[in-house]
Amino acid sequence: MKKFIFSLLVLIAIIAKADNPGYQGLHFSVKYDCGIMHPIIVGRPGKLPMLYHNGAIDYAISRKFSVGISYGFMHYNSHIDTKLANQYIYDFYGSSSDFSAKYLQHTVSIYLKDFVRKRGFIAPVGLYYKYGLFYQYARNNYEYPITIEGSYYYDETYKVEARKATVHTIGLALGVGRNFVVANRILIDFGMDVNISFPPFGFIEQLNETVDIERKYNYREYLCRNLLQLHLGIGVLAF
Amino acid sequence: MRIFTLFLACLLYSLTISAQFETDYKPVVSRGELPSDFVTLSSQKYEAEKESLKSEKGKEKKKKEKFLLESNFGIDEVLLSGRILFNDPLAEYVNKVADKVLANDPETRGKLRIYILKSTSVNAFATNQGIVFVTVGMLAQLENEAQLAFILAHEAVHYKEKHAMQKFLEGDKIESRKGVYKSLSQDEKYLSKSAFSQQQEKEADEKGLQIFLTSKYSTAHLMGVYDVLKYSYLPFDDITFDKSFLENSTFKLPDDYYKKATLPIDVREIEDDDKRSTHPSITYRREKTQSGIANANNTGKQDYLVSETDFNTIRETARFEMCRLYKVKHRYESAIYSSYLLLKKYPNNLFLKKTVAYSLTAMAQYSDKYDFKDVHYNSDSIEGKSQAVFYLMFKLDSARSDLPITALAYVTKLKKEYPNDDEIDGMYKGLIKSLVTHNMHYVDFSNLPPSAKPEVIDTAAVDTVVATLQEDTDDGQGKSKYDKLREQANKVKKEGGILPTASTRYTTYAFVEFMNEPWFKQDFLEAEKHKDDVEADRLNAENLLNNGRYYWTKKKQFALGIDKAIVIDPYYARVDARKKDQYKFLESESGQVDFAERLKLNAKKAKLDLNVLSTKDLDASETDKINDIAVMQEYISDRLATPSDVDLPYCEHDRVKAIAAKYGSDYFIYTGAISLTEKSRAKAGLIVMSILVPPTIVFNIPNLVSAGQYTLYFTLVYDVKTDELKMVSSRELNNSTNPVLLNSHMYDVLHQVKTTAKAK
Repeated sequence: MKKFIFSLLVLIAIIAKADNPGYQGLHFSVKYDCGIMHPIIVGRPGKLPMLYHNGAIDYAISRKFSVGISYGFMHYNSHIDTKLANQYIYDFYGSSSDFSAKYLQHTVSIYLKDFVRKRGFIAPVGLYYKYGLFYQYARNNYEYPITIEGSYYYDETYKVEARKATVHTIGLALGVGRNFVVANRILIDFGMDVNISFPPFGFIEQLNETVDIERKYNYREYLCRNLLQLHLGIGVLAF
Repeated sequence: MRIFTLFLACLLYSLTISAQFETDYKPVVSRGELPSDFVTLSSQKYEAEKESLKSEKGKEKKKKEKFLLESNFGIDEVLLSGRILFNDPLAEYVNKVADKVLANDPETRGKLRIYILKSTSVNAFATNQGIVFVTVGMLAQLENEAQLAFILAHEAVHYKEKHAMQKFLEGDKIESRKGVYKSLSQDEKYLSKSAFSQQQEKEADEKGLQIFLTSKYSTAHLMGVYDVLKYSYLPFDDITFDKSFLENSTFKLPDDYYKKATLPIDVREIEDDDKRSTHPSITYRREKTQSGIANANNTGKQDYLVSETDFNTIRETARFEMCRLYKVKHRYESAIYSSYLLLKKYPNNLFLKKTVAYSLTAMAQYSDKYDFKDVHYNSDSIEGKSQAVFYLMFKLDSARSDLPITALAYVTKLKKEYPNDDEIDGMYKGLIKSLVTHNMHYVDFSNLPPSAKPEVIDTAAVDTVVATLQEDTDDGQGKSKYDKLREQANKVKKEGGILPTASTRYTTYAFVEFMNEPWFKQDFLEAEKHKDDVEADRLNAENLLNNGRYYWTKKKQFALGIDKAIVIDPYYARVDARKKDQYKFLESESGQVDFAERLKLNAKKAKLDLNVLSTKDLDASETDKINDIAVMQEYISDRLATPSDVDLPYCEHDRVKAIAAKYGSDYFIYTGAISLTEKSRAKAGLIVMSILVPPTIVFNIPNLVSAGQYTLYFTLVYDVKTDELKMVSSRELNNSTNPVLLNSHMYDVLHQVKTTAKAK
């Protein structure tokens, strides 16, 4: 903890001492971005839109770098289409009845954005690569317990009565994007992000019964959800 | 009585001219209101002229539009280059002559706008738009007013007959081998273009002569105009360069440094082969004009209709201006010879003396620290008596330190004469520094004339001196060789002057007149004391340049702490290397206007008080502004042309300092951007990357679809007080010049100009 506080103080000192231009002297930006994800990507067809929301503050600490912190929120109701599940994702649901689940995800990350100087960009404008760490909490609440009769992949008969699955994980937050400035104040940002969990798939689950298959399912869904996020954001260059 | 009146008039005239140039010369500047040619944007002129082609159609129209576009922008570049004079005494006089010669053609006269081009070449040009440029070089060489009138009549014909456009259209036909030019070889194309141009010149000569003959100008001395053209490569006079010009009572340059027999001027009348020239041969033109005036009636006609006095004053002014232009353009040998010619007439003129001093100093600096060939013209083929100057400089350069010593001898003489002149003081101290840096010390020069210390010392004399020195100490027993030598050296130092040796050269006696002047001794010794500082300064300057040059890659940044600065005519160019017509005139101009506005905006945000002097937002009352821009542009051109190794102050420091004082800042900024589009350099790489990592296609598509976009953004900041280059920022960006990118970089640079380095 001491080390963390010390590092934080050093970072604040660097920022305070930083003699950098920003965009016309504006270093600090507040941004909101959102992404729309198609249900198929996460393997659990649900109701559109599957939106995730992200709020971030960034500070340009030099011509090349900016640092930032972001909070992301995602919430949606899954609605399982048996056919789709059968055909594309998991035969596991083959004989199940319809069910839905509520998904909730909170993500906090700190990151460094590296603006591509070769292209002539000065932070916080232009093409950037993002490197950071994230912490994520995710939870699935199943509203209807299901009974699985079996599938041709699995001989056993499963009976899953899962109520809730949660996950706490940390990992690397990587991304690439591009900031545009409009009217000297408004920041438009688009790009894509990848969250790589560390340790991978570190679920801590609270399931009622046999969990293996559901857990695998959750893993894959989680992986898909974090593997590729496209975002489009709008922000304000504050000062 | 009449003779007396005439004599009185002549006396008054010569007194007037003499008085004007006796002690000094102030460069001519434009006056009055700015003509509309300067305040209208090139794009507006182009659009207006394009209207006249409305009724035309087809390819011919396109060609004409292209001509109008290129010519308007090309001419405006000259007009706003700072090299043009209007409403000044020279332009006013030339316009008066035009009024006289075109008195019978008021329509043409009304359309012509005549300006002076600050160029040493002997020439005049007419444009399709009705602008005529007459060079300073031409005015300096002409013999009388009638000759100028004939030249103006010739140029008026070029304008009336729209020769410029015709030449462009015909040139295009020849180039694309159309019509009668089908199946021409490359060489034949060249010859065809020359032939067409010659045809136009013949027409201009012929019709110009008709205009001239209808005027009240006499043809009595007209033919001399062809001599002016024929000998235009020579200085405005041909006088033997006096050996003693750069010497003093004890400093005598070796005889073999002077070329007594200079190359004679070729005065033969040879029928030149003019097939490859744009103009017919002078012999041909002379004959044609001669036959044209054979039956001319000169009754009641005169060589001077405006004023002979004015003509002579104008010519003299042009000659002084030539000295200045040669100096500014680094043609120092020509500057020395031209100044020498005028000094014969005006021996007390400070401007001329300073021109000689500066030229010598500059050549000494190039010889000492850079490449002398950069400022030296090979004397072998130079005709006339001016060859002696070129030869002398060559000889002085061939021996180490001879040129700096010669320059310092001349400058020190001026320093003694004008002790309070800052410019002379700057040159003087710079030359001492230069000598000291190369291990020349005060004690290396004699304080006694050569007669007292003969150049070749006989052995007995040396022995006596050495013996005396030894007697003063002891027999030398018990002391090392080095102790003995140190003692001798101390003796010499105490006694002053030098111990003559067999290798003593003529340069040893360069400063005998000044060696005992306390200020000279003090300045020399002071420079020796700070020798290391000089070297450190030089290294610092070198580092600054290197850091600046590689700023963008090495993360170096500046913190100049400047509150107020002046920007000289910001530059912007848009180039598309994929197209046949690569330079985008219209976009470049609008980009330049935008660039200037953006500079103001970013300076405001960076809290920097920036005065942007742009030529794209002039109004009629801003003649002073364009005069200031002209001086500043000359300053920047000179600084850019002067290598960083050459420690040379600007030659017109007073003018620059006056501008700095007027605007309240010693900092001049020259900045601009070049936006270049060319074929993408990395398309193959992007395609491979897109295949290997499909998600990157989102970012690669824009680059794959669009061409390669590059931007060069540069900024130079000069401290005109010290002539120091404070900042060099040159950034090559792999991106198009979009407004946000420009804002980012402009703010960054201006922020660095404004910000003060934080204490460590």
